[in-house]
Amino acid sequence: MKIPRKIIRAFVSCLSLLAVLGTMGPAQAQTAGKEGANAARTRAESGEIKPCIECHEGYYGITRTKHAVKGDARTPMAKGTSLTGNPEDAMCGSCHGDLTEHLKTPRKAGLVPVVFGNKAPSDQQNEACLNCHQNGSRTHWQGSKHDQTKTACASCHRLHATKDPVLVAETQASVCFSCHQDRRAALHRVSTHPTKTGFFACSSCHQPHGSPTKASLQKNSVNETCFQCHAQFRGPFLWEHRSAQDDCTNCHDPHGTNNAPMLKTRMPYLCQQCHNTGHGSTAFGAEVFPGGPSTGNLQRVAGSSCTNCHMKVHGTNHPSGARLQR
Amino acid sequence: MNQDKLITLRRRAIGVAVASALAALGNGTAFADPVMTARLFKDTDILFRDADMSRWSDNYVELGVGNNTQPGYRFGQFSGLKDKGGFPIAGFNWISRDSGNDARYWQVFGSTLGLDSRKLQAEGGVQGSWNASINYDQLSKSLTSPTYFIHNGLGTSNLTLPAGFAINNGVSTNAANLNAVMKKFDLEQNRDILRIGFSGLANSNWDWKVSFREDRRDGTRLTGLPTGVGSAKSMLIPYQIDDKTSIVDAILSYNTKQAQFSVGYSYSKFQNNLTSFSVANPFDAVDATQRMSLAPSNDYHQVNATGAYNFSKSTRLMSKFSYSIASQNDAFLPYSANLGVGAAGNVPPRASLDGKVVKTLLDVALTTKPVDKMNLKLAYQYHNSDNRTPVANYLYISRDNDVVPAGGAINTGSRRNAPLSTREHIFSLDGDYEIAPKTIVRAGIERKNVHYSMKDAQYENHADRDYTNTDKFSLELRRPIGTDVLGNVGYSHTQRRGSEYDKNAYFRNTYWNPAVGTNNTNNPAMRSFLYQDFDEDRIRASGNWTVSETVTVQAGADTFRRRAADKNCGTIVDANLAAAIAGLPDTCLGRTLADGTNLSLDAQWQPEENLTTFAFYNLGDTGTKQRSRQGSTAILANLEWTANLLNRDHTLGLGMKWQPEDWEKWDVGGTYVFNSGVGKTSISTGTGIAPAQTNMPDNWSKLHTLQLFAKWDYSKQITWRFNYIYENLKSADWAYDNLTATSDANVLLNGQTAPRSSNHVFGVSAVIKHW
Repeated sequence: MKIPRKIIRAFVSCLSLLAVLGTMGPAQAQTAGKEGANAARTRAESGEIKPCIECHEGYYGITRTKHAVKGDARTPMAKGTSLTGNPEDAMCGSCHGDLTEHLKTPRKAGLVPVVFGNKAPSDQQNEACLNCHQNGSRTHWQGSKHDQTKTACASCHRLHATKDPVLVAETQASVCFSCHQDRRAALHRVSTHPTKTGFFACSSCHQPHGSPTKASLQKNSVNETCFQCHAQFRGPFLWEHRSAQDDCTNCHDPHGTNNAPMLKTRMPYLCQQCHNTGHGSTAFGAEVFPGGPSTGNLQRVAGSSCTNCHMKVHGTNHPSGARLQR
Repeated sequence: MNQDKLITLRRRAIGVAVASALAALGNGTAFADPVMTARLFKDTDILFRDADMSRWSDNYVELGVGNNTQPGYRFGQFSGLKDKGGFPIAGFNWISRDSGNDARYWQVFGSTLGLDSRKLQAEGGVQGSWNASINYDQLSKSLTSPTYFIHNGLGTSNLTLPAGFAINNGVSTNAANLNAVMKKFDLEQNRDILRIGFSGLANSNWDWKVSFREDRRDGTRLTGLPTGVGSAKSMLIPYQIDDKTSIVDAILSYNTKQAQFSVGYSYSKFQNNLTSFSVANPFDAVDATQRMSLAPSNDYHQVNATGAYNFSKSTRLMSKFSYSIASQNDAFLPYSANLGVGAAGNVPPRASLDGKVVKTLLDVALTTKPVDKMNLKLAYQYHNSDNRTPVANYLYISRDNDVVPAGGAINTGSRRNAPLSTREHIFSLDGDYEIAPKTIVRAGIERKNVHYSMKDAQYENHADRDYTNTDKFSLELRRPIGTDVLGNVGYSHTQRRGSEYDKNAYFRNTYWNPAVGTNNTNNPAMRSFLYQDFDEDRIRASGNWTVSETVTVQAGADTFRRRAADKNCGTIVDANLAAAIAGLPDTCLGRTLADGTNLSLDAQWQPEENLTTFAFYNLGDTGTKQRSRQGSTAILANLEWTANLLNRDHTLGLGMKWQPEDWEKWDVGGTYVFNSGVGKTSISTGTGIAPAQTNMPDNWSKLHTLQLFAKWDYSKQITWRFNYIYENLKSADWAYDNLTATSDANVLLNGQTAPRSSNHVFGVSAVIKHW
């Protein structure tokens, strides 16, 4: 158990900086989060969204979200676009539309113009969000995979929760897996990324709001995405391995496999799907194991198989490494 | 049940699923919800030990103790729970953000602080004005245990032989000496990742963001190393890691409702503090030192620009431009570690590579809604990768021999590097139309054209193929079935075709032999799956069924089949060949088939308000078939062999969350997940291959994971958490099992076995909150 002193120093320094900078904001008294959920409830019931919370009891958590910060002029609560005529009432209308009729006859169905969730068309829901969130990572939302499959923003995001699970690395995957069940299964295989332990989120590689790349990657290509954490394989190398240079997923399945290290299939057969030269063309069967008639070939099957010798499968810079052995 | 029957059964199941979906599609009636992606399990967590979101939203300090009953590198691979014994449980969260008129906020958060894998985060700022954040992750990855090695200095970059070790050519002949000096050494890698970010808004239109990330790795990893007398001798050894990746990103954006633009710069530097490692040779006293290069340091610069413009409410143009340079210029090692640098022939033709790859990317997409119920997307992408790495002739010496051709003379062992450049054009058109209320038809076409080239005077524009064209067509239908079911079925067909193969191409060995003049050491009928012609069909079907107010079911099926479709390889026509190659196989070699199927079934049942249960099952199935001929350019049909590989796994999950009505201060829950995987390898050899080879044993794994958790609100300020995890892994792997470090005559192994572990972990902690 060790934490480098450099890291601790940097962390403490930045905390101090934050503490100082934090005093430079608006002069109003700061209400600490220690009041927690009870404070949120108190605030919700004391005005602002009171008319809503009287019936929609479970939604007072929104008062602790970014959307509720009136000090930020961009937020729904600050814009006060409620059409009830009273800006202290029903700020919820900023996203849900004109609630005048709904407030008059709250039990009558169909009077809330914008409803989020499975009960409303995704285009209508998303339009409410894109009114403010069309920039940044959402720039390529239109025509993206999730847009094409009519996925609503609220299918993944919880707007009323104090903390949105899809924005937390530890819980994000379980949101994604509600539709991508094959990826959930892959995570229980022997060789995976550290997603289960919360150190590797789906969004480490994927941009769920869309990007020009296939599979909506964060970066311009598969390899550029992988090189964020595996930059040792970026090169350029003197001796390249074409399949690695072309696309890491030629050999690896990053969602998890039972062939460590996340290989799509086993060596030596994986290599032999492209290489048919010399000993690479040899048929390896059960006869290679000790006691068998082909045990002389065990060296190409046991342990790390082809990479017992050709270990530089991602490329090498050794001047004599043409066969990726050095 | 044998494999063929299983495959048949699998296909019938898919057929029934698809047929049912198609049949049901004709029965559509009004349905309230066109949203396909239901979120059935959003409020329950099936993977994580306790995904109580109050961990991130309440203020608390958590302290406790836990105990792990067994060591297990696989169990603790990333979690830090690899050692037996007690461990502290510690975490905290302190957040301030709920003042209506006060935009200031801050949060500090720490989790799993008592383990080797831990997180610390801090964030603060004034919402709508500026933000600063710092995150620190420490991630431990245990790689093997137990593993055994003969050298001293394990974990360093200089591995030496034990005093008095008798050097001898061969593992078997020297097994007694090798076994006598074996010592246990477990491989482990650690990452320390620091992220610092700042962002701000200059005004309502302009914002900026700067971030820095440093990822430092240390520890040891496993590698092979060819050594000894004769190229066949090698060994598995640990090598030291000590490197750092630094990334800086800066983005400036301008946003209005009508247009959004941003420009950015990214810099990534990989810095390896080690350039090579040396290993004393246990097999040869003459070539006493073996040296392997490590990944060279490298740099990556990228500028990019993103823009989008709304011509109208329904028409939007989006584009991205990116220009990047990847470079690497680490000094070369000499050819051999057993000669002085400068000794005759021991100096490469260049001091360093000066490698450079320049990439240019342009993406443009237009989305529009020409009529009310139709969406269209037209896109074009241009990706150019220009590999400007200099080319030269290098000597090929398979290990650190003390024999290097005098003066670096080019001989039959010489190699010339062959940097490859590519240029891609991708055109696509997608559209959907609501043909009836809530019923949507989607179709799409795409063409991807890739040109390959290697620009060098000796092989101008030679590559495996000059170009390939990949065309894809897809069709999808989604519609409600009755009021409670939403169905979806889609089909796509993809095919790739390209130019004639160049039989003198360099793909197969990634280099060119300037002395021989050709490099046709691969069988000329080999078709790499990177470039080969293929036809692929894919069918997907899925459905969501709201059975009742308390029961929902979701099912999905996805299957594809990709068949190699190269021309008859027995009639190769290639102007580059000096003479026709007769007798090549009619059917091309390489991967001839790839297929896969995924079936999933999820169900959730909420019998009462405070009790949620769920279950899921998944079948994952991928397979490949390949064909090869024994011998470099063998043309004899009786030397042909095939291998069919199948990876199949079943995953079953069960779970529940319960807040007992009578014990309202308690939250309890649990999950159980079982994964059973098998890897099958079927071999069939021609009559000319002796001895005939038979199927490999199955590789398999069975993983049981049970997690139980309880939360007890003892008082307003104190909550007790109780956690229990049981994980049992059994597996078999023919690459390791039944083999000792000295089982093979030519490779010194490490005594590794397929992972097996059985762990019970108990944890109890007190959460002090709302202080």
